[in-house]
Amino acid sequence: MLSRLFVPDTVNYMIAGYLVVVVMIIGYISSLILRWRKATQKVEVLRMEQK
Amino acid sequence: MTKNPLMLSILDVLSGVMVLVAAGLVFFYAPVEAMMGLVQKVFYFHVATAWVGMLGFMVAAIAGIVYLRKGSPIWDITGYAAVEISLIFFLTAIILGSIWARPVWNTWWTWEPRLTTAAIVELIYAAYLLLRKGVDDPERRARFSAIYAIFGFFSVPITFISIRILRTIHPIVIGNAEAAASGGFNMDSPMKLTFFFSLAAFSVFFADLLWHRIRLGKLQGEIEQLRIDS
Repeated sequence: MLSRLFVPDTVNYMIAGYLVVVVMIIGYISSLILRWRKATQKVEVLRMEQK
Repeated sequence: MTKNPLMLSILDVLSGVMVLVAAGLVFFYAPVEAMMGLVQKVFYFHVATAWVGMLGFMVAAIAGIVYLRKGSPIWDITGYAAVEISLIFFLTAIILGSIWARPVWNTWWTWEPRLTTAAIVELIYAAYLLLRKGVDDPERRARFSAIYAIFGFFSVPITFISIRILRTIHPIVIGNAEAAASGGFNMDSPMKLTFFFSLAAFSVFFADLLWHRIRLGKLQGEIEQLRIDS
């Protein structure tokens, strides 16, 4: 019980750390989705042009 | 091509659930470490993202070897996909380590062996992406990338063993720590469960992202081919 009183307050660092994880993961997934959509549209246009 | 295969959709759900469960274990199950406080919880995803980074670099090296033997473009796409994803995860691990180090080591960054070798690995693979951008011919690009990924991978085990063979302040949580290490701790059972579950969750998540990125790579390859044909 007493030891709990002396645990350092580092909660802000933990929040910052997990924010980084969330931002990096969401950022990468978003980039994948955007590139996929762009590539799909481009393939369709190029296929149409070939016909 | 545009519709997700059923297995990939299942993997999407599985990886999403596993990462959320891992986060739940980190926040609600793993105990608070007494010396460092809540920042120690960064450790679970720090190691998991670093592991996935190294795993992807290994996949890229293996894909490079297979490409040089078989010459199929799918192995070039796989290697490229693995490096791209791993760069993101490895950078995340480096940033998480820096955030953890600030309250524990009293510095954001120090040029000790693990941090230095990790930064070198990140730069080596960032250069891999630049190399790919610099070569127009797809076959030459794939061949150069394969060779680069194979030789680049030598930096990964050096990073892994650096804290085990050199004098460093970076803690070793599994195995014997160097006497100068600072910020180490002994894991109890809930910590071990959270740690290993996080590793498994991020491994599944990596496989899921890799599959998606390979599909994107195939589509981009098709665009390149259609442009050459037209």
